[in-house]
Amino acid sequence: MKTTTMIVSILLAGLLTNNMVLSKFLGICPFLGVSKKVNTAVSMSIAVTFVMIIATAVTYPIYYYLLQPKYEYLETVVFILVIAAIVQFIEIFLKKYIKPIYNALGIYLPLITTNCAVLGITMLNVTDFDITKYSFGKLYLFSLTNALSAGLGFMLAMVLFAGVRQRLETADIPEFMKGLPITLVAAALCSLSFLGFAGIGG
Amino acid sequence: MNKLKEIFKEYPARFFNKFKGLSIVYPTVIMLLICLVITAALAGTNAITNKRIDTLAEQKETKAMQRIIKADSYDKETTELNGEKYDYFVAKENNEVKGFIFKISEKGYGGTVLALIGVNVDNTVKAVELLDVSTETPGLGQNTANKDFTKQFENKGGEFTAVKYGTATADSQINAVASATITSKAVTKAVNEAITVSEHINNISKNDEETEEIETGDIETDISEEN
Amino acid sequence: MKSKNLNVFTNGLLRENPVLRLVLGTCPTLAVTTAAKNGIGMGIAATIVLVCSNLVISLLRNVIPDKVRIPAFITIIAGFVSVVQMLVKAFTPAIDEALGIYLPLIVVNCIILARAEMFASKNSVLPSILDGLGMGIGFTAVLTLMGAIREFFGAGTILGFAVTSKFISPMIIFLLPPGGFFVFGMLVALSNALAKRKGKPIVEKMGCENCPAKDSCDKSTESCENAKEAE
Repeated sequence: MKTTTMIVSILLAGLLTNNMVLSKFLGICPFLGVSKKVNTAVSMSIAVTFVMIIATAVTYPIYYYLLQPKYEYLETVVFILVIAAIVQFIEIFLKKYIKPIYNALGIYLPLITTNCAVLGITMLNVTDFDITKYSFGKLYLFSLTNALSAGLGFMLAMVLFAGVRQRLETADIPEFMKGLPITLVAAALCSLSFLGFAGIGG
Repeated sequence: MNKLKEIFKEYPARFFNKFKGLSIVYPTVIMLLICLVITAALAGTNAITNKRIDTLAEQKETKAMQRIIKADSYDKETTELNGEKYDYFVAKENNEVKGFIFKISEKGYGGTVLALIGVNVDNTVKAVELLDVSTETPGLGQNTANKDFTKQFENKGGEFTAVKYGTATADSQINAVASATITSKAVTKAVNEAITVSEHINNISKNDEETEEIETGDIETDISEEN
Repeated sequence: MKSKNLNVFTNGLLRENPVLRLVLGTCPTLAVTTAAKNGIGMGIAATIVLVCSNLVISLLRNVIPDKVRIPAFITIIAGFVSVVQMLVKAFTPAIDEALGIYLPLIVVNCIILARAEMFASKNSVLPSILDGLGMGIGFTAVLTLMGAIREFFGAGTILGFAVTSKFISPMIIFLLPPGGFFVFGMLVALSNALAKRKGKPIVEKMGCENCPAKDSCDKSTESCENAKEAE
């Protein structure tokens, strides 16, 4: 496949067809926990996207040059430690040098270490692209695009769902369905609507 | 008993308490120790399990290859087409090439689909087998691994297109698995890719034979001149 | 002492069931439960990791300094997850294929980090093991139940054996992502209804109270609300 077609298809997949939250079930905690208000949802997802891209930028070369093919079994440990260190480092860096961004996003950063979407995307990058087929440059480009599109897909799901939830708060719901159960049913409908995108860019 | 308790519980505690005063050194040392122990444990487990994992994967692959094209040996080779590298296996029986087996992954519905495709020397499909459809929907996309679907490709050549279930009319049209058109299309794409690469390989070997003939001719004349 | 330990063990089964009552580990709960078999596999893998990490963390609880507490826990958990992953790959490759990327993602399953943080780092070895075992079995039970429900409706089979698939065309939507959300919502609703009948509080929110990242989550929502008020 041509590089440009590949990139477009990666972007479409992350946003719509293979949405991180609604079809891969990664990052459900912030999706159900933080998505009550639209602006919180946006800030959280910007922070997640940012960390995803940086995490991919660091972990992919580590995987390519250091881990594969002999030390792949260290992948989980290395990736999670690198992500934890990166998040810590970004927090310190922003706090010291770019105060406005820190004030807006800094509080979300510690949350992100244990967010499965971030570890998930770094691992998916390793499995999604056939390492024997492309050169490192192309693989790196695809991985970064994948991280960006996954982050944007996360944002799309969060923002859409925040809108749905604001409506839910005023709805009359049976006692036993109140709270989490109805939220999950709403998420089911949201995810159902995303099924309609299947096939785009395939 | 109490003495043992003292040794195991209090002595290390006292030892570590001495360290705890050093605010940067202590956490670093502890983290380092934990990482070292974990890495050693992983390396150990890997040493025990990796042979088994490798042989399992190999067995699965050779068994599938045996089912696709029966042969004595499968030699791994690589070719390049349009800037992409393809690994393939040359199936040989009694030193005669019976066909090529391609391992091709294609983007399916939930992730990548991995297919083994056997192609005869005349660029027709011998058989198709799916190695990994675990990312596809169970009950739908995963049904592409069934023989009912894959046998549609057999003994045909050319460019295939997947069409909605039950609407295939021509030989080159493949009935998709019901409500799993995307996965079916991915498999079809992989098969088409295999055929293109196979054509490419056959072209190269034809050209090689021609050039070889010319080269041997040259050498002969060289020898005669020396004489 | 004995009854207290027993209490710790049974806690995770019903009263504080990690999935339905604490609402932790939702990602794997939703993702792998397309068949009962996968639920069992995931549950057992997570239980092994949970018990081992609880054991080690409770042993090291006086040694690990507070500053690197979370990274140290994560490293230990990741180590056990990788070991389990390799063993699964070598001995039950079918399960490995079915669980895919969700097997290594046990590392970030909040049940494990939450139990390390809330229980193992504060209690001695035996209760920690029992807590891990109880929570793990509770997790496995819910995953298996959910897998069975989705498999029954979505494929007409249970544990691979045909039940209704011969004469009723199955509702495939239950195997797709929306089915996961829906069945989980129904299970939480059911557990809430039962809890209410027994006079226990019902679960309305995500499991934030039990999440290791609760502090920063709270702070973020708070500061956001403050900012809105300021506007």
